Order: sequence, then C-alpha cells, then structure tokens
Amino acid sequence: MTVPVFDFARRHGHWLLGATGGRRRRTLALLALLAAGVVLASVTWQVIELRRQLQVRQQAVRQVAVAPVPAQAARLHAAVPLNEAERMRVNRVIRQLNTPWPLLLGVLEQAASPQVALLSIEPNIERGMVRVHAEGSSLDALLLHAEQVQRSPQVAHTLLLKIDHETSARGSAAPRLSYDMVLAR
Amino acid sequence: MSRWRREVHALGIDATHLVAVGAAPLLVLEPPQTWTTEVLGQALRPWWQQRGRGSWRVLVAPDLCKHWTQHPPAGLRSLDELRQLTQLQAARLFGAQPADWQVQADWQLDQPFACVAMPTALVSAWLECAHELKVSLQLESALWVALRLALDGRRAAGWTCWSTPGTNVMARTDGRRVTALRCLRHGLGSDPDAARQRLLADLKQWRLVLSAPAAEPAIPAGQLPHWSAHESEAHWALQLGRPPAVGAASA
Repeated sequence: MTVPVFDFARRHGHWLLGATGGRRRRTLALLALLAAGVVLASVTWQVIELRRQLQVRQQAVRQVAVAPVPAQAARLHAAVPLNEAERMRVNRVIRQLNTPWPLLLGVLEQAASPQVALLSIEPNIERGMVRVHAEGSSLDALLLHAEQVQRSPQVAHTLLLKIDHETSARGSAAPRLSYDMVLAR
Repeated sequence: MSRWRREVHALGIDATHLVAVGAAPLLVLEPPQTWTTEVLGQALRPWWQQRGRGSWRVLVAPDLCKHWTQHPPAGLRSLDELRQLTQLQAARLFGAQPADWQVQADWQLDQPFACVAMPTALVSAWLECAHELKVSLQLESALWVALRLALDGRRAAGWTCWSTPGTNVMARTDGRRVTALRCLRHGLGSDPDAARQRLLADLKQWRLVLSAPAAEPAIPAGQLPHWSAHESEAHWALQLGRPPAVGAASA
C-alpha cells in the first residue's frame, strides 16, 4: 500500500506552475512564465505582421484588377496623334531599319576582286541608293569593279562621284573611287 | 552532503519542546505558554544563524497534531463539504473552533478514511518563521510519518501499533489504505514498559469494539524509534526525521 504524504506547509495550493515552496522553485516558475510570454508575444507579432503583408498584397491585386492592361494600352493609342514631320521621321527610321543588307552585300560580293578593297558602304535608303568608297591597285581595276556592279540585275545604275589618284594628299599611292549605286525597284 | 541536494534539517516539536538534531532543546515552554510566531522565531533565529543553508523538516508530535478516522456521510455535494465536515469533527473531538484546525486526509467518499489535523495557529507560526528566514519548509505529523514507515510498501491487511512517550497508536489497514486509526494519551512517559502494556490492553479492547476477526495479523512496526523514560514527544518525533538506522520497537 501507499500511505499519502501530508505536508501542512503546502496547504495553500499551487499558485504558480506548481511552485509552492522555495525561492528557487518560484524563480524557475517565473522564468518559465516569462519565457512563455516572450514566445507568445513573438508569435502574436508574427501573425499581425503576416496579416498586414497579406492586406497590402490583396490591395495591390485589387488595384491591378480595377485598371486592366488593355484599357491602358487603348488610352495610350488614342492619346498620341502624329503630325506630318513626326510621321516622316518615323518612316525614315523604319526604312533605315528595313535596309536590304543581304541584297546589297550580295551585289558587292559578286563584283569583288583582289585588286579592289571596299573602304565604306553608306546606304541612303530614302533616295534608294548606296554610296560606296573603294580603293584599288589601279584606276582600271576600280572602274572594272564599278562596271561589274552596274551589270548586276539588282542595280538600276551607278553614278561615279569622284576619283582620287592624288598620292600627295593622302600619303598613299593607291587610287580611290567613290560612286553611288542605285538599287533596282 | 551533496552540494547539489539541499540539506534537510529535522526539527521535532510537541506542546512544550522544540528540538533539533545535534543540539540541546532549542526551547522548552512553560505551560500555559503556547507556540506563536514570536516564540518560534526567538528559538529558531540563533540556531539557524549557525547553519543558514538547507531546508526544514518539522515533525509535529501527536500531542499537538491530532488523528482520527472519519466516516463520510451520504449526500455530500463537494469535497469542500467533506473538508468542512472534518474540520467540524476536529473541533468536536479536540476542542476550539473548526477554523482553528487544518485538516489533511486520505479523502474517500464511500468508506472511512484517516484524517490528520494540525492547529491553524501552529501552521501559520511555522510558515511565517520560514518566510522570515527564507527557508523551505515541510511540516508533517510525526505519527503519520511513523505510519508511513510501518506500512508503506506492505500489501498485507492487519493491525500495527506502537507507543510514543505520550501516546499509544493503533492502526488498521486493508492492504490498500488505513481504515481505522486511534491515538490514546497514556500518561506513562516515565515507564515505557507500562505504556506498552497499556497499548496491548487498548488494542484488545478496540478490536472488540470494531468486531475485528481474531485471525487478523499484526504488522510489525519495524523501523520506528525507541524511546526511554522521561523523553519528550518532540525527541521521539525528531528521530523520525533522521536517516534510518534506528532500532525496531514493534508492540
């Protein structure tokens, strides 16, 4: 059998986590209570913060839903009418972007020779022509090159602009030729 | 003594003596003086200044701490009612008002149970002294501690009895709990043998009153302390707070 223990010094009951006797027990019980309070406060704060973030995001979602993207695009479209000068500028940029580089380079490649070196190619698409600067071992080679370019079916005609065979001005003995190549439509 | 375990200082107290282990009686009262916070404090402060560490285990002798078995009435509505009933019974058996007794018991609703009552003034005085000196306190009935020593761990039903310097104690168990408990003042503190003879006579008489079967065995009260002539109840109680190794004194 088990005979119960009767301690009259503990008659007042358990006032704090079972700590009824001794300063150490009470201190431990208070520390445990404080720790529980800190944990509870931390969890409560996290819950409040999460709810606040959720509200902010829900608000953002509602704003996006109220002002949809297609309506914004339509408003932009209607708001900017182009005048004549702007339209021409836009068209110029578009034409510049639409330069037929493969065709152009194909023509020049067909007319290429070891005696001729191309120095620059300047497309002027508004006028439908390309200005070419070339340097050759001789003037004959340069002229032959221009003639071959002109024979290409993609070229309407060529327009010789300048022959530079003055060696003193450039410090080079090789002559240079500049011509405009008008592309066939 | 382990540095990690609090040292327990045993104290014994009866109506006139307050004693501690390894010291002369801390205080001897002259009747009709009684134990109050001031009286206890005056006795304990100088003794505790020499120690200052550990806790107190106070064993209250049967002349101050009372015992009986209570028969629970039918129709009780709460444990609080039962508690009030035991306080009324303590006042009826031992005098004073119900509020003057603190009662602890092996509470039962359908069978008799053992009750221990201690004067409220004595409990308060000890609690206030312990609080003032910042020491942890156990306040126990010496007789109930002796009963635990005699019966704890035993499964047999039967009787156990012993005498203290002032009281003859008889307890009956059914192997699970104490079902009957009787304490009689014998007034034979100067003659231990006479006290034991009185105990046997009391036991015989009480068994007749309870109509107990003759074959019910006696349980030896193995480890209870001896007492000698003119020894106070407080000294006998104090020995129960010491570590074991005291002689047997079964009746």
